[in-house]
Amino acid sequence: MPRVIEADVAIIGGGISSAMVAERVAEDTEASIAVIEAGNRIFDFEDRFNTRRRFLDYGENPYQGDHIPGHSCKNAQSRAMSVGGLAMHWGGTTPRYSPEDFRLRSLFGVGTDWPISYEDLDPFYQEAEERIGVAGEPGPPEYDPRSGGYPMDPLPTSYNLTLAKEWAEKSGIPYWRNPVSKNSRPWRGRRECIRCDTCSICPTGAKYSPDFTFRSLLGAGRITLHDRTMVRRLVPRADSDAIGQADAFHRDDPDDPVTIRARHFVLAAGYAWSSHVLLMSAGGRFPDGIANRSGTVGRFITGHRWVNAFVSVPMRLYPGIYRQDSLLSKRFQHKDDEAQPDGKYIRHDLRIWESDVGKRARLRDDHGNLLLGDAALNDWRRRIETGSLRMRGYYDVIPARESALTLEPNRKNRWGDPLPRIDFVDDPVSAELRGYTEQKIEERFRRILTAGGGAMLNISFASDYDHPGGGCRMGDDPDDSVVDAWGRAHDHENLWIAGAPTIVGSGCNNGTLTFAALSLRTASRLTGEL
Amino acid sequence: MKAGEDRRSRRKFLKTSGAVVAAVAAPAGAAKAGQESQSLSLSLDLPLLHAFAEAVLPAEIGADGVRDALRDFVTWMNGFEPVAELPHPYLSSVEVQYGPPHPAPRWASQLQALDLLATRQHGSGLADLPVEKRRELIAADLERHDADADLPRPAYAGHIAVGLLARFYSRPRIADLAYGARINAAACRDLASGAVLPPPLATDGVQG
Repeated sequence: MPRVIEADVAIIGGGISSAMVAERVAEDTEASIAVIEAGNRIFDFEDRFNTRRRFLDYGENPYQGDHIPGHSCKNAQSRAMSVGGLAMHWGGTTPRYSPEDFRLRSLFGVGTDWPISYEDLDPFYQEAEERIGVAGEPGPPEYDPRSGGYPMDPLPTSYNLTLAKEWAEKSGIPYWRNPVSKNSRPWRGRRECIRCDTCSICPTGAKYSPDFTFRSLLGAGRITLHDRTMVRRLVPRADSDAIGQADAFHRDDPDDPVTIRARHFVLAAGYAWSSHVLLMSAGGRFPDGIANRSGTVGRFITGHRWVNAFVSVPMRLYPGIYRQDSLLSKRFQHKDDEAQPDGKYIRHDLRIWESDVGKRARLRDDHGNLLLGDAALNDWRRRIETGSLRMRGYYDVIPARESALTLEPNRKNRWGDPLPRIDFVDDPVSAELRGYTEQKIEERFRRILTAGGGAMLNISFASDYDHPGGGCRMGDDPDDSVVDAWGRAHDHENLWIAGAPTIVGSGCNNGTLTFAALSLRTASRLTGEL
Repeated sequence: MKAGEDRRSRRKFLKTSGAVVAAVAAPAGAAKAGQESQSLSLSLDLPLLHAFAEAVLPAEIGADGVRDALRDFVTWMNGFEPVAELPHPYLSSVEVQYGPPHPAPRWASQLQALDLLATRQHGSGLADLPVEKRRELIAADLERHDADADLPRPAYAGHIAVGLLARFYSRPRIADLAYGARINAAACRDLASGAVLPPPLATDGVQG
């Protein structure tokens, strides 16, 4: 293993943001690119039918070893860490953020405006959709604007969702297909989806995951990939504030340091580990960490909460064909009197999936009697005369400055480095409106139930944030943000931060496509300097 | 079915099941299971398990259905890897999670205990009791185990009846039987076919 890694561009982190930056830089320039990832390289595609089978039969992790024992961020979204990152496991759901998400202060008088608009990001959304392959149908333009079409037609709506859409729209709320990074036709060397319905482990490669990009770039000799290599700190040059090197080690030989030298460093390690590296790099002229003159590294960790309900509906459904398929409505992300009827800040999406909750075979009936022999099958048949659906709303939460990732000095990994923790803290506006928001979403669920018929089986409310980001948020003011509108660190001219850490807010939709688009926007500026 | 026929059926299964266990030594998806797992499932008394299954599973599936269910159950056990690495829970940073130990020894001892109980209470082993009587004994045992209404993943079943039923009812073909339609869950299929009403199940029931 190399003790010194030299490249024009060193990308720290091996998830989807890294893949987007690497691919764009490789296409646009002749620059040498090194990708550094602390986790393992799990290029398992050829074995995925087998791992999928074991996942179905035994519930085993289809990506064995996709973590680093003892190395975790408390309250992070997932324990996983490997080449490909969380986008190995993801469901491939790819809605964009809404235009309103970028202008909360201007439109609603809350939160912070991004330094870029939806229109600024739109071409990079389009590019991300092309690169990863997104199939979708455009929603109503007033709620879901886009300058171009989807690269692929939507996957055919499942039978169950066709019925669910008719049912839900009796409420007057429009629903459309949630876009997905799954091929409705062969796309960039990957197959058409065949609805295996285990998207977290897609056996055909119809769902995008970053391993495809990395394998392609490796095959073309355009990157070097250094897995199991953990970056400990970024070190500024002696004669300027530019980053001169990254200090790392290989997990197989931790006592022998690895030095990474590059003209440009791109931190693409996700919302947790990007901030972690910057804070770990404190020292010398940068006592609070690299890129942290503003004191906002690790701050403004953002995300959205959800309200989730399972409902019984008066129609016969057949769950199990394509459970991953979902309907989306951005009706209540818009600014108007119906979305915010009381003049208070409330914005959320609405989603619907098929479900089998309340409709599975069981061992006891409602009275607690055991069901053995024919009784269980008869009980099951009686209950599936009607169907069930899952409804959910993600609502926007404005993060407080204190919503932060910090280092825990007394919790260290096996190499002696302090590990991070995240504490989610709502901005006072969101804290005050939390109960109101949850109640309003529940009312909207009940509006749909009243119009279409059915009953609430259960409802639950999230405590923590989903689809988190932030920690290195972008902004025009170097005193209140970590990177500029292109993802370049205010404090270090050759340090770029890509994707999730740079977001200002999480809006109401899954974040991965936005992280990919932001990464491509960062790469577009970086390539101009190579 | 008369008791004599019942016994003949079980003897037939005894012969069959030995072959089944041998035949399932390397089923699809069971490649990780080693000799240890196989010997664990072999420790189950297969004729007794068959008599047990007749009382637990729906009679509607018939003798062939019971044999098929047991073949699947044994295959599943043979492929089980104890303390396997599990997927990381979403929205959680807890340490890596691992699955349970092999359930077969626990289930084997429960099965043996039920057989002994039958002998002590009724003067003959479980397999020689009428199906209704077996079911009563099993139900009483399940009540002692305080079994929940929801069926868990099979490996987490505290009782062998729950394990068998959990595996049985997780099978796509049994869901098809309940729905009377060819849903064929978890099967890969062309895009268009998932968009239409699943066709009705053929009259031969569980097959397919």
